[in-house]
Amino acid sequence: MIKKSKVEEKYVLVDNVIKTFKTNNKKKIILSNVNFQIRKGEFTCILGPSGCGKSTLLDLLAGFTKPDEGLIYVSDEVVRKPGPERGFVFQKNSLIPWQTLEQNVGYGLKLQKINSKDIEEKVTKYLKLVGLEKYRKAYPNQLSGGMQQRGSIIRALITNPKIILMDEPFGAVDAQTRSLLQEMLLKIWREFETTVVFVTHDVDEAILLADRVIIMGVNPGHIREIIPINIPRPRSLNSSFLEEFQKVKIKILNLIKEETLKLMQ
Amino acid sequence: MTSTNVSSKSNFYFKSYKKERLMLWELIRINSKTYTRKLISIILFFLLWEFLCWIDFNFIINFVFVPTPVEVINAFIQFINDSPWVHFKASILRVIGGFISGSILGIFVGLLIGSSKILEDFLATPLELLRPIPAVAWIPLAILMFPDAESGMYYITFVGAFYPILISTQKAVENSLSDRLMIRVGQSLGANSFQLFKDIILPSSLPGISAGLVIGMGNAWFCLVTAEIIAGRFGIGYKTWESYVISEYPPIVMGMVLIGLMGAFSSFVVLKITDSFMPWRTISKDGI
Ligand SMILES: Nc1ncnc2c1ncn2[C@@H]1O[C@H](COP(=O)(O)OP(=O)(O)O)[C@@H](O)[C@H]1O
Ligand SMILES: [Mg+2]
Repeated sequence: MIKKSKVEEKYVLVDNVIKTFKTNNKKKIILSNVNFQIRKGEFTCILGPSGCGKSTLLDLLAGFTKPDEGLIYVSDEVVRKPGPERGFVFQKNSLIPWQTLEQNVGYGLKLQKINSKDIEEKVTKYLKLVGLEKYRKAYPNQLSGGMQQRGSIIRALITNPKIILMDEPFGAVDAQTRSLLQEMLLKIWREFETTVVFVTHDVDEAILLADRVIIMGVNPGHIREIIPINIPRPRSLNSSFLEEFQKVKIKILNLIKEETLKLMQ
Repeated sequence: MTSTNVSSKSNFYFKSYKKERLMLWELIRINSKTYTRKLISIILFFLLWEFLCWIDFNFIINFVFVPTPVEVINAFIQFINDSPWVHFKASILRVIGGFISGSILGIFVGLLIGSSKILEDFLATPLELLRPIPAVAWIPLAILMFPDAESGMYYITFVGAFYPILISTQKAVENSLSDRLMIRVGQSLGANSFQLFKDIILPSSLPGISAGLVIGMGNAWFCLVTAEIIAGRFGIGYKTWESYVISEYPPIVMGMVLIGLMGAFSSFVVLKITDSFMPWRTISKDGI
């Protein structure tokens, strides 16, 4: 499924990135020498102990913040500022409260001065994709958490971005809804062949979704290991019974445990 | 116990589960309870007032010279029979004029200093120095600075309306700017600074601006008596002041009550109008 031309091998390139934050006038290194590449169409999950810098890394990919050193390329362009070519799905409550669901989903297109009839058509298509067409006129506070996250996903997807960045998008929904959302996301990913970078702290979620899992280490944040997941697709909840699933899960859990223990010393 | 669902029309179907349970008759019952309570409170207030006058209450506060509600109503009937419209019109125009100019300038300057550090540095200090000056203290300058008494009076009601609107707008914008999530949402969907301001910062500041407008409207009425001291022959505030000068007490209280009523009513209108600009909010009080 994934083509292997040179450019597409390095569709996303994180090149020697260092990120520091100033707290109380002291510079603290949060990410040190982060290097990795992602192929076009690949689904990558980032796992690591809480506070290791997963969100910081994703914010850099989005362009919300700038690296102190190093560069980030997405599809041969250096990331300098946030924009619709890199869709972002936040953890929760990110639909704009004063816009209805359809206005939220169409907002990115409206900013591109696309005419309202085309916007409406496209919005309807995407709403149907996630089963929300009945709720198009609802305001976000009238929708459940899971519905809001579905809305956020299609809002990020509708501008046809080169990559979708997701920061624990299912972290705040209940377990049953989460499992439905995961399958929905996999379906969308197959259909659109998008490149996805997905931050999570849920090991099962990472294994279910990812082509490769990036494990981050601590003190300071770095790439500890990149683990390919060779479980056949399409995957579902049942995939977790596979031996391969359990093996890789234990491997990842041990790595994360090691890193978490380092934080406690 | 009130439950206000500001959203309407097409959103009817999306009211929360708890709201849906409120059947029509329940709403009526709850509301009629509120109205009954409000009515009782007003009646008790007037009864207490009448009672204190009747027993010539005099402990720290002296009610001996305070006109009774009945006397005030009589003064009102007399006032109504004696071409009241000129007074109403003069006062309403002064309040509305001050309020509208105060709103426009207050919101405009508030948006500027709320969103720009440079403009805040340049503008905020002098505005802050002028702010504590009470309306009464402006009277001499208002007379000297303005071509006629009428514009001086507009200026005084303007000062009353301007500051609460300015400060609320500024703080509301600063608060919106601190909401990193919504700003990032806008940025990642491709909004430039202007679009970010128009679509994210401004709508999220509306509740704060609305509060400023409601207070500003009240303050404009608050300053009316002061304004109408300047000059004139017309106006509810003028009427109140004149009655004081000639020691006629019932019309003073009548003027006070009228100003209170009109102030409360116009604040209510401002509140309802601004609420209609924010249909996305669902306000639940007392856990309903
Ligand atoms: N804006 C900031 N200023 C200072 N420190 C920050 C900032 N954002 C994150 N950090 C620090 O960077 C570290 C990594 O944070 P984050 O990327 O949010 O972790 P994760 O998402 O993996 O839980 C934490 O120690 C956090 O305190
Ligand atoms: Mg995080």
